[in-house]
Amino acid sequence: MKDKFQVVGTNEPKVDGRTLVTGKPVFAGDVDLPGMLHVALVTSPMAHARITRIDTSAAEALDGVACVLTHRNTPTTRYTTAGQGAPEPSPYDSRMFDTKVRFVGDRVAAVAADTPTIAAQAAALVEVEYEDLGPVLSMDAALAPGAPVIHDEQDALDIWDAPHNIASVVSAITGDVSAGFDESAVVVETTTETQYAQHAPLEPHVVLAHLDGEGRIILISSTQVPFHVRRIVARLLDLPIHRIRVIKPRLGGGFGAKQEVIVEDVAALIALRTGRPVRFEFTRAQEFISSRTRHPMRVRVKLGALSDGTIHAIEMDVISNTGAYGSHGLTVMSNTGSKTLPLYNKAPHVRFDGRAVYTTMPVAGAYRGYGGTQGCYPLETAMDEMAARLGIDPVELRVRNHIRAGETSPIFEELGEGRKGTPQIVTSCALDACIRVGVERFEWCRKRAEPRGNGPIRHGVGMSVHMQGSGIPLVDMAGASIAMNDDGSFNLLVGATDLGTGSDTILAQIAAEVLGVPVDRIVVTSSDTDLTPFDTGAYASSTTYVSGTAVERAARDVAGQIISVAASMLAADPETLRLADGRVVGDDGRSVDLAKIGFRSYYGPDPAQIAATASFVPESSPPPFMAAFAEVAVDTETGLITVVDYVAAVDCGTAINPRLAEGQMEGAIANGIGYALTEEMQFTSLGRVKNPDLARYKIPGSMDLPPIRVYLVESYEPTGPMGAKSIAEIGINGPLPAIANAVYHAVGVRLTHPPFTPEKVWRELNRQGAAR
Amino acid sequence: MSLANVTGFVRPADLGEAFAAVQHGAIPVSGGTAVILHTPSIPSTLVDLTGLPLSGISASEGAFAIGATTTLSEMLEHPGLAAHADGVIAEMLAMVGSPLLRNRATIGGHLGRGRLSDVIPVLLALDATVSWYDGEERDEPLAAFYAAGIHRTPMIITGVAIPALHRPAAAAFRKFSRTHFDLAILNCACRVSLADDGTVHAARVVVGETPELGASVNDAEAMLRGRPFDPSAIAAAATIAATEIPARTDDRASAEYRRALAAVLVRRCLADIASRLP
Amino acid sequence: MNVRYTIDGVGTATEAGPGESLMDVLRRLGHTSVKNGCDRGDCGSCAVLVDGRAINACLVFAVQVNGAAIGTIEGLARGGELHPLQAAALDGSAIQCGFCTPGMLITALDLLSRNPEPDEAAVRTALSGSFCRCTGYVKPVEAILAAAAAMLERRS
Repeated sequence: MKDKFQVVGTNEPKVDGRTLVTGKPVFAGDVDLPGMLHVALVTSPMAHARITRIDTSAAEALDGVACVLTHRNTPTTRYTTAGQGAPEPSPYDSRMFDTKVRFVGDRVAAVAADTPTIAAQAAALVEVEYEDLGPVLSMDAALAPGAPVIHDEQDALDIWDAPHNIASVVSAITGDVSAGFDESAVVVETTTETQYAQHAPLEPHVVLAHLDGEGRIILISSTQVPFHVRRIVARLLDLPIHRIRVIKPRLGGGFGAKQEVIVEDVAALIALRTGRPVRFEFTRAQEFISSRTRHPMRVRVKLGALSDGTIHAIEMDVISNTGAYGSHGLTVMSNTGSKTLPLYNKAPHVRFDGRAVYTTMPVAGAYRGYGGTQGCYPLETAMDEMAARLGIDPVELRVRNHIRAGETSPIFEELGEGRKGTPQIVTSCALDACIRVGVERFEWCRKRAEPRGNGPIRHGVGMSVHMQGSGIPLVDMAGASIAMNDDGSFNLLVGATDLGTGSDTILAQIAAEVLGVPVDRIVVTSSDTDLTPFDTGAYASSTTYVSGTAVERAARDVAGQIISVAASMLAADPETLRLADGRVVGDDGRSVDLAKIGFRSYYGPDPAQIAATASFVPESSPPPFMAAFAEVAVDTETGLITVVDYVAAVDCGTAINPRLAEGQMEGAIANGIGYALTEEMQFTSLGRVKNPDLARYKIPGSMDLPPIRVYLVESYEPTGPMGAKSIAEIGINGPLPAIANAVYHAVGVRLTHPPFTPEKVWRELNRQGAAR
Repeated sequence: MSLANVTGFVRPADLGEAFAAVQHGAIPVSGGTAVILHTPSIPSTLVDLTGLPLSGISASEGAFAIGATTTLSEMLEHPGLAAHADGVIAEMLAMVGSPLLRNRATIGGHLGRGRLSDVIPVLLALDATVSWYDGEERDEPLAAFYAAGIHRTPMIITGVAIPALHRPAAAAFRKFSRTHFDLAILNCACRVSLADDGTVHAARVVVGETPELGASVNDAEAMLRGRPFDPSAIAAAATIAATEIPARTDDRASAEYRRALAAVLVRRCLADIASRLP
Repeated sequence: MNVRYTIDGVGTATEAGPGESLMDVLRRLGHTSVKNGCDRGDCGSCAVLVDGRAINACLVFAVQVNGAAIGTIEGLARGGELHPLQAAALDGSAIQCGFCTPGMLITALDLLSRNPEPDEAAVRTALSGSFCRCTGYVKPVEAILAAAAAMLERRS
């Protein structure tokens, strides 16, 4: 199928690549405006307290201070910071500045001043007194009878059970699980508990706000969701949406952290109040503490299998720690089941239950993998255990059970993003091929059979299989506009948000493919709410599939218009014409240059703009699939796990740009290895983050990673643009279960509490007596 | 990061002028990589040592003198120093911070800070001597320098000297950390020299980041002296180290784990040395 | 205090506070390729060359390197032609968000100036203080090796 493509399937350099390698000032923090203010945030030193007094007079009196925001002079509208489609499936439990603080690092006040130094000095002069309401620093503490109520406010909306600190619940059931387990020959159960982890994009959150000549608010923001930012800020500030323009310039990584509206509201209000430009950027410490995190979860998975190895019943119970606010709490938890359970669709009996619990800890939110990461870990660990009990190779157990093209799972319908899902048939699935390629490249059979060693260093291999999705069906919408220029080039306008992934480039490739031109004839403008059509934003692995289809549709419309002009120029039947090599070419060999058509469309005869706008709302979310393989060396004397080799084979449909697709996988895998081995936010007994910097929160560096070998196994997704699916997230899911399973193979110990730090592994080895 | 509360910056003409400034509360700055992370509590002046003639490495008959403002990268890239003592200095330096840090951080600044160090255990194991100026030029073995807490008084560190290693002798270093670019959870530097009869003539067994600053495990060193350097001696030294180190729990590791690690690292270091000795 | 630098070959005079970091001064002068990722020497995004060696600009007092030759990524391309490191990064899809790219390329430049034929281990060692959250370092390492080969070829 892909052989017929000219531009799609090639490794086009990124369209913004030259700008980036030459260091141009294209990030939100690179722009200085005359008279610009700088913001310092006053944050809560208490985990859970009521503000009894706040005095900003000393701060306001300082020379150079322009504005101080607190709960006393800001809107009291309840909202969610989650940058999701409207109405957001997250509770409205936040205020810009509340009278109550709910974690150490919660917003108390914001100070805007002429310089960052003055702003910091003024922030230190804001006097606040608190009434301690008692910290709630674990899910168990939050659920305990008599626990302090974290959201006791009367005006919050859509909290499931505020008095018991339960933000959201979700459940799904199909079949009869207890009968299913009774009928099973083997039943295994695994409970895992994952940690607080942070996205750590290299660029912390930053926004520049200013007013244009008409008094409209212009926000240049490091956001993944410019249209949601516009809508949410407009509602908070009680402004019409059209009074705000949001521009996303180049973005220094997001991974979900920038799917949250946590700086734009403050900057917009300060600009409005003072009439001056203002920059609000997080320090690295604030990025750790006051930004967002991955939801820590306790997940119990119970699997039942028939004696032939068919998975017959699955139960998954989730308790998710959403922190102080419920942002993404419901939907992340839903995905814990919906992005994992359909994988084993032979099971007629499946039950899923989840609760998202408030604690007075940093706020969890969207993070690459979005709950699927936390769900596939216990599921794939349980599958490994099941294989051991059945005496089947772990690969073979997956092969016997995984979903295939043409099949469905009742879970697709039962469990969506915080609500019922959408029934869907899997229209492409190359998981069999992924497993085959992975087994070969990794040399699974040889490595699995090799002796594990009898010295202090033991070797082992493990694997896992995965699915994710491509966008949110019937929720996501992407728009794209294409207009032809008088030299035969095109302007492509997309709401889609390139956060470094290369989406501007692959969308240009899709347009170029349809229009029969090289990529350099496509000028991409993205993510400007004044200029570009709507797009829900860069999340849920949606851009390639959803935005890509919108682009393909717009391009096909434009191609049709071009052909009809060419038909009249050539006096030919449009059916005999096609676009290729920058020309319209007829079956008879005659052709006309696109530049001629473009020129004619502007200057005649019969001038008329050749342009089209199209949009796309997906009816399904075609999953990408992946098989992941890890080889580890475990030092039984120190507990150190070294990942020696890592292979991931992924079914991405058509790879629009193979190297960019590989890059998505490689980065996600590196992040996943960090999550498995070293990354963890640590807290004091009062709930303060102990390690809010990159020296103590250990993300992998260049020396900490194994060879990461990614193989793209192409399939053709009939509903996707040029057969493509999205793979931004799936890669991050593999390391945790694959490494845990490899450790089990090496030393017979099941690791259930990441990160697998040496000390923790050493203790586990001693406890389980496996060290010798 | 830019520091508030820094009100002046002086470039002294000589050591005397630099020391006078330090005596008056100025903060000595060499590479500055550590100084710049901590805003002084009171308005302070910086005194720049990098203009003084304190930089460079000189080698003579197997011994080395290293000026205080020599960067860690310059040490790492010095062929003589890199080859000294089985390459243990270069091996260690390659694990200190990052190249970007090593290109700026200096040995004098590092020794002056006197904490969070992989460098100091290795220098202790090699019986290094530190020199400083506090009105007059002084020097002292590094171990005594830290044991007495001298580095906390006003002074300007001027250099460090590493004596020649008289063969047969060998050294080894091990660092255990969570990631490559990280502080150690524990580190260990050892040196063993043999007498003519093949028994241990002298031994250094230094364990650092316990999380205290590296220090000799005296009983292990004493036990090894005069004994054949065999697996039972190595095992005994490892056991002593696990017991004797001033292990403490902090955010990086528990005391219990540090003791277990000490036994492993000391054993592995000494085994490395055994394989390097004739 | 008055300071003078030669930045990317151009003489520049400016004012710097005694406690001010080189990163803050360079960004204020408009050299915004010097990225602030952590402001404490952990991430390497602000790496610049000071007299030929790559350092974290956030960890250097600006006044202390008065008179130095400072190199940023902005001065790498000559007459519109990308430096081999830039070209390799672009052609090898080694850039994702591009925020760490300037610091990483500066670090690589320092490496290649002293070791024109690095192996993968040498490149990974050189990058050990330059964090990237997007790429897993796979393609940046490949690109630096490719650039080294291209530079060698150009010289011969």
